[in-house]
Amino acid sequence: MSLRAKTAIVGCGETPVDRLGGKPGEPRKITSEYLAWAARLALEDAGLTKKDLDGQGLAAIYTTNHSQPFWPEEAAGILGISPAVSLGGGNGGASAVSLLGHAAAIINAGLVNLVLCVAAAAPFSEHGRSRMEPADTRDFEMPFGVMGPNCKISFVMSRYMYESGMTVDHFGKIAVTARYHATLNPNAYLRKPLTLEEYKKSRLISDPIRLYDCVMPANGGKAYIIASPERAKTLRKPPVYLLGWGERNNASAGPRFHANPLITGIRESGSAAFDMADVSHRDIAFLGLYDDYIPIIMLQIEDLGFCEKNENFGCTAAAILGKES
Amino acid sequence: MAEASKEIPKPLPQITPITQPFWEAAASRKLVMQRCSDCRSWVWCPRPACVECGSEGLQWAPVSGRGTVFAFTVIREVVGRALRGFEKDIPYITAWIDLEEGPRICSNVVQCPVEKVVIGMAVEVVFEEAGQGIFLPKFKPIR
Repeated sequence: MSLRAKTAIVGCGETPVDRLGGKPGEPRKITSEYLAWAARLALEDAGLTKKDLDGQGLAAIYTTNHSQPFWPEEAAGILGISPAVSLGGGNGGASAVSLLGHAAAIINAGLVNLVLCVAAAAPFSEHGRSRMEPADTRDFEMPFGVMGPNCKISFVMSRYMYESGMTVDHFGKIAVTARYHATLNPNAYLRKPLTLEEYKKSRLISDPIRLYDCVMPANGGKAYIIASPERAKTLRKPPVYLLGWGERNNASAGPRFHANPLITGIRESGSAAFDMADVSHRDIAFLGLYDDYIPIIMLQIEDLGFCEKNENFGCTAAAILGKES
Repeated sequence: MAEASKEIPKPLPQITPITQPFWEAAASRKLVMQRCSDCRSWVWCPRPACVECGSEGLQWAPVSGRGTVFAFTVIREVVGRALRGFEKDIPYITAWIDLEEGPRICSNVVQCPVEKVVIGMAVEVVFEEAGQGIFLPKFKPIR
């Protein structure tokens, strides 16, 4: 089933992000507050009220500091809505994009004609994180002192550098470019330009990962609303149609007992999205990548097919990203 | 002050019906992994069925314990309360080790200065007692 141009995003909301609430006296908001705030902003943007969501779809995303099993139901309770379909997003940082396709599918199936997708987290003001680690992590990583994603992405980065010859300077160029883009975004938390020198001087956390390679935890909430074309046409904003989408979980390049960690599921999901949209790389004017860790930006550019594996690496990446440093 | 000097325990694996044979073998200083008796694939981490062909005919088989460093990192900071027990070990190496038989296992490279560890380095298993009868398979350079 193709989802091409069968649904449209009609509104979105983004709260400011902050890192407050961990120290005495700092303003403190909790997850549910960011959730309600982001949902309200999305509804306002679309020209809808929460009453419009009764009998419609809700997609609520689990976040690492807040992953209780009944989260979609709790989110509906927090918002005071009665969804006809509720979806949970358990794909971490990929959840919003994953749920975009799921929401489009349930709209296209005629089950609902609106879906609110919402994510919120408050790691600084709600202490501790979920203890529900995946069993492999709990049994075969944590006892060896594996420090979560910093460590695992260091494995990927060290192997990538070994195979490609990509250097810290190349990764630095990507970091500088990504930060430059943040300076253009009024909602970004870090808006001061980063220099290559500053990148290289940032402290090593888990070699070769340094501070400015790392994902930055923050409090905040985000939401979007997706609608059927008929419903979208009644709303105040020009609809933004979903043309292509793809998802691949637990992808494995090669045998699963020693898969190639430098090839991600995006190779397959990206290709599926291009095919569904019936567009080529030349048609893409804006590329929104997941920038959790700097080396992961590089893997996405490669796996989406914007350049070959190991082809001029950092220079290519910086050029594709739009600014040479 | 007494609070600060208190030893923070490192997390131990939970023993499940699927992983029990692995930890029992480790306690007798043997490294074993599951192998599919139908398609002959190695399976790691432990699973209820073969991740290649789906067969439930998995058997535990010994592996040599020799391998090479596929990728590694030097841990320089602890992240999260649960792992604070590792603070005293910093800096230390965590790595993906490719065993001779093929499976890639996440572990530590030990008995080696951190600056000497390189990708491709030949290593062999060594078991370290972690408490409560658990022995962790770690890897040291083959000299």
